[in-house]
Amino acid sequence: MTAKTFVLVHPAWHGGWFWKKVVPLLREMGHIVFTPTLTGLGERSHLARPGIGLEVHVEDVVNLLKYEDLHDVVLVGHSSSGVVITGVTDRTPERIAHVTYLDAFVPDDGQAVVDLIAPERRQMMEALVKAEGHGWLLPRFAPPPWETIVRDMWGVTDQEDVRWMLDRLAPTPFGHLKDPVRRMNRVAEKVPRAYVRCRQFPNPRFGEHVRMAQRNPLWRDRGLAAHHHAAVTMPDSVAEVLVELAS
Amino acid sequence: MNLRRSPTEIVNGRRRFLAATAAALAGLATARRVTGAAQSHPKTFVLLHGAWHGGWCWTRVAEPLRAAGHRVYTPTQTGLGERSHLMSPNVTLDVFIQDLVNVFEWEDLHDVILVGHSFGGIVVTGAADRIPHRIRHIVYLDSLIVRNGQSAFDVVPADVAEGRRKLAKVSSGGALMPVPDPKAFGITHPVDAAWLNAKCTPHPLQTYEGRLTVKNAVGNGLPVTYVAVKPDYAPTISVRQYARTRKDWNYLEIQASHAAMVDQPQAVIDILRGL
Repeated sequence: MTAKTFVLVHPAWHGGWFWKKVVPLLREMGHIVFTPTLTGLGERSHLARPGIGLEVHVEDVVNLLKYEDLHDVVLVGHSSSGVVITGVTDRTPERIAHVTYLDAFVPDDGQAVVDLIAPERRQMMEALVKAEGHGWLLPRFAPPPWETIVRDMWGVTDQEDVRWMLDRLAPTPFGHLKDPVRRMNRVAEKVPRAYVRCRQFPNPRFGEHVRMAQRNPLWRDRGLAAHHHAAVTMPDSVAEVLVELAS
Repeated sequence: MNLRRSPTEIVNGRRRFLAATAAALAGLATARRVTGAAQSHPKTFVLLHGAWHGGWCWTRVAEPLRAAGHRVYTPTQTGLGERSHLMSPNVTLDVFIQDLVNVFEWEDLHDVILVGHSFGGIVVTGAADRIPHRIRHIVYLDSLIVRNGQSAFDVVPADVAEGRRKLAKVSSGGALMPVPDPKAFGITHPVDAAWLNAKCTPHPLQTYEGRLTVKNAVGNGLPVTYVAVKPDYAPTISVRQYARTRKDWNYLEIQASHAAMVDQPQAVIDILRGL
């Protein structure tokens, strides 16, 4: 089995750190792994400012591929970063061998993450941005405190994992979630792709994506008996399925 | 240790150096003798590039180290390389230091061999001042070294400083130093030169004018190895003289261009693996 180049893109509120458990598993198998942190988040959170949005985040990854001379990339996104990887593939399909959406949003051209969630959720987010985020930051996934979100909504229950995450989750520039993606490149549309569903996380939109993947010959689909944050709670299964889909 | 900040903290204090909790942990690292016995144990390296370059320049050093089982981080400074779309008047020496410190904090790195190349040595000095407990050994690879209150332009020859200021003025009204010809680093092989020409990007002048603020002496009591290249690279002449006077530092010389990670990566790897 040949060595692959994985580029794993973290979702809103997280950073490259999100993939911490999956990275060594992939590297042990001989693969090359990059876990860029999107501008304004994680180790790049000192750069957060109004004006950072999807465009900068797509550029963050596109530039990584360019400056590190990456080819035949296996591009992976989770949750909100499904929109980022869609934008990256649209921009630079010649560098990408495969795209995997891990319990992620799959936007059509012109759609943003906020277009793919229930209208009440969108309104709730906009209210949070206004009330607590100075008009441009989305402080959390939902109104409750992070501990409630991490444990009850995302299914992370191990105390150490929760502590590790609570220490690192950061407000996200709202542009990441509200800016529309460009998905117009016919060459990009031919890049093979797959949807991996984390079955323990209820999400009607992700269910739709699975049905789309099952009908569309360009897509493959897989399921994990895991909650949304499988990369944290079941990293072995995530590494295994990412490698299987990349082969 | 909580890295999480509220939106208000982000808005009020973008340049934050992380908290006292981290400093309370181990205190200053004690100097350790370098032994060959360390060779087979997996280590953590953080390699920081210099002016005009990016994390990309370390690939010939990083990949073999990773293949040997070590963890290697090659962050790119804001405004350069893969981060060049973020260039702005806000990119300063302090942002560079924060870029580096944040990698340690967010990736929770300890016992790190921290390597600074050229200008990156100044950033490394800044980081060592702030997070010494996370660093096992500092390597200055043909680096610039400045003390508290000094800037990079204070320690390079005056004609080098003037030349760069002038080029910045002419090319971008003083904001950015244009990328030099690879020959200026001693790189002559056409493949290496093409790589540098394709990937180097303009460097913010103000990081060379900016004064380093540190509370402790250079190296902050940590083990230090200075690696000088032969033949001499003009901008680091006075710094090398200083490094040689430090009896508490290791001083090594290698036959290489200034961009040793490009033309003599094995020599760099051999030094790093021996630490």
